[in-house]
Amino acid sequence: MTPRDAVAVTGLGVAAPHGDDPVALFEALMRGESALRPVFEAELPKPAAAATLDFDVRRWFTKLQLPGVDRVSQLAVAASSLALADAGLPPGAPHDIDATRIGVFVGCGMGGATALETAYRGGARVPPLTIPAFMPNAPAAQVALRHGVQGPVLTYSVACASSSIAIAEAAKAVRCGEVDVAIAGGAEALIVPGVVLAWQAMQTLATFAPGEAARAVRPFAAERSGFALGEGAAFLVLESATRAAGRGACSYATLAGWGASCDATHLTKPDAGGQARALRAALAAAGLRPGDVGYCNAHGTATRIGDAVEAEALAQVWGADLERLRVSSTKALHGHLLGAAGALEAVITVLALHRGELPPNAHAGAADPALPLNLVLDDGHAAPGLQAAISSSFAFGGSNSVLAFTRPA
Amino acid sequence: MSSLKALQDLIHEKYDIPMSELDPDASMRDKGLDSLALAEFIFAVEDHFHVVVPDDDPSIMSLGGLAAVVDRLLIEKAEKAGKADKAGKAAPSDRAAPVDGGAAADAPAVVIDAGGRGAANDGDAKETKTSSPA
Repeated sequence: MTPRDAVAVTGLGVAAPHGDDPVALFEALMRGESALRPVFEAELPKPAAAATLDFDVRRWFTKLQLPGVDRVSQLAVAASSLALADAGLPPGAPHDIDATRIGVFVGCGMGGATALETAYRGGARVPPLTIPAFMPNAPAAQVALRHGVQGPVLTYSVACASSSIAIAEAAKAVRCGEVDVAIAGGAEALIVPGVVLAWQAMQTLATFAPGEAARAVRPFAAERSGFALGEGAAFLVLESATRAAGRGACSYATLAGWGASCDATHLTKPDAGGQARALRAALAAAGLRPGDVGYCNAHGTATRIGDAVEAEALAQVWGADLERLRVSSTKALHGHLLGAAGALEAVITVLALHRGELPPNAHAGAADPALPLNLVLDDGHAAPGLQAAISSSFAFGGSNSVLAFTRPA
Repeated sequence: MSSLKALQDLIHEKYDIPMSELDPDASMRDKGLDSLALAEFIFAVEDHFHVVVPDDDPSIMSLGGLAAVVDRLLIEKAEKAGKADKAGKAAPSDRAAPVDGGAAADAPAVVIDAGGRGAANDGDAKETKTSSPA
């Protein structure tokens, strides 16, 4: 790949448990601040922690704009607007770009969970706009409506890899010239009692002692017990490096490569071989050797088997270079955003590269000695020489997605 | 008593439209309610008054027209309740057999049926229908 073909990341936007400022979010992570809190204490038989956000919908929507717009779409509109503004492109309908040459690529695992919860468990009549509010492509559609996007507007529902896949697909569209600008990311907002109950039934959520919700998630720790759900949206603006340079835009990073694979071994049990294929594919596409990559924002869900399999996959690919790869899962602090996880963690990975700082793998305490990873423990670390970083997302269903970012040329 | 004031209060509360702009004769579409907002508003009206608003009546596109329809429905409901009351007094032991086809006057408004406001495939053929191209 020549710099001319490079896909530049020129805008970042989040509506996340740590707020709507990507830099403030990153700095909160560096300080190890957890957004996890107990939720629905009166409604759940077992305690659950989650990372929710205090979202002022009236900043983004009039009441007349809200019929049929679920929280998941509200968050998507907010984060995409912030990403466009950050890229120096006016949110709304951009005037200086052909609207048919803009694409929207959104990952979403579930769709409008609040709309469904109200319909199924509300106890009253089913509201007439339940379907358009719930449909999983509603966030992408609302983003397109808000910004007047007339190019491809696509939704990827690949469980926990949804928005990582969406970003990779957006990068392909930019690379091949199908679009000039891609608004790529994800949204998820399913912190409602029915969904939390379903995840508890799956036996994947972290357990914790009273008062310990903020520290419930301990990725790669010997005493790990699962993840906590999070909600939010995150978007990146992607465009060719040539286009970005032509308009004088700042490029945070280059999305240099991406890799996708499927385990095809089990619906929910991860497979190191499948994950290793995605890791190798991303490195190959980016023209990187394992030793070139200084940081991995891991999938790291803190489940017993998930973390062990991910460590094994990294060991398979990195081999003798594994010690040089710093690893952290920031899910300990922002929760697992499921369909939006890949996008939020891509934003964090891009900022790690841009700032030369590594966010911590919080709450690990005594790291699991069986896992041969060089975790970023305690507080975050400065890493001024960081040249390349990856973000991994591994999904139920066996789909794996890895994004590889490098410093802009 | 006309339901107009209650409708104006409801639409003002739901959509922040200033009361001064709620002309009874103006089309609600002109006030910014698209087909989705209209469907949601009619649903709220039905919940508020415990009536079922017929969606094939073009007069419901203005607040004044909608108020007239709601007033008529409320009178019909009261009349039905009165008949049921009389029937109940005439045959107090027959509590399970309401008059007029069995529709108890205080029953909750019915769910939207397959041919009704929310499930049609013809987009905005009727203004109050939910657009549903899929």
